[in-house]
Amino acid sequence: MGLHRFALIVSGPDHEADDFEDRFLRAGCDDATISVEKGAIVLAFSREGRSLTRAIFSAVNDVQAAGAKALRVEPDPFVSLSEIAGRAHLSRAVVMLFARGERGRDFPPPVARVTSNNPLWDWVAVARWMYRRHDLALKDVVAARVMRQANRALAMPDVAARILARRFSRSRRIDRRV
Amino acid sequence: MARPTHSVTEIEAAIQRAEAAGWTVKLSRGALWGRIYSPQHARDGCRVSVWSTPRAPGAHARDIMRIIGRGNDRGD
Repeated sequence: MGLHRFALIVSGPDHEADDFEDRFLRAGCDDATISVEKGAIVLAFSREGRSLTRAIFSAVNDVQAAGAKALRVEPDPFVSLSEIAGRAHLSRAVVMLFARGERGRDFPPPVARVTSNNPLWDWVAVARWMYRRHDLALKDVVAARVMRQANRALAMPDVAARILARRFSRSRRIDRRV
Repeated sequence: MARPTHSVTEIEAAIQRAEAAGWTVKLSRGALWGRIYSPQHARDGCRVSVWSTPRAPGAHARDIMRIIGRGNDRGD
């Protein structure tokens, strides 16, 4: 068992209601710090689990039991250059050199908001590139892939539901009986 | 105005840090100790729910600290 840290962005319950936190508590989310940031509901989990994937989907399951919907998992798979620097514990200047091709070769190109002044990179591609340069550990690459997969699953409700049914079929059966 | 202190030292320290940065505390009762609000009260503002007895008190205290930090140095 390991302790996994990640945040779920959720929608649904009225965060001004008096029982807002209680519904998450009753669903087993007392290992999360709940906040409302820029109007969005955020649950920052420190969850025990055999793997990061299991920990994330058990949290998604609990959030659903609380009557909310998990929209995204963070740290987000899309990253700016500053976020890349932060995650890799490198200076922003060094990461800028990577991106401009002035240091290292074949740094991955951005994948989103490419035509804007604030492009975003796919953290999996960047993490792989940095792993090859020994700037990052393999476990960071694995975690990056899990976060990307989990976000893809959450974006497709059928896929997310299938994962939950497979992993938490027993608790779901109990839920239905109640 | 005196408020009751949180029974977990690390969490109380995080709340005091928030107050020093201009955050306000609204006490609750039961499992929810209270809600703390950032000085920005508009949509841009931030609210953190503080548990009375979180499953992992240390992690909860660290999360509160982290969110306070985020709220104070916005705009990177």
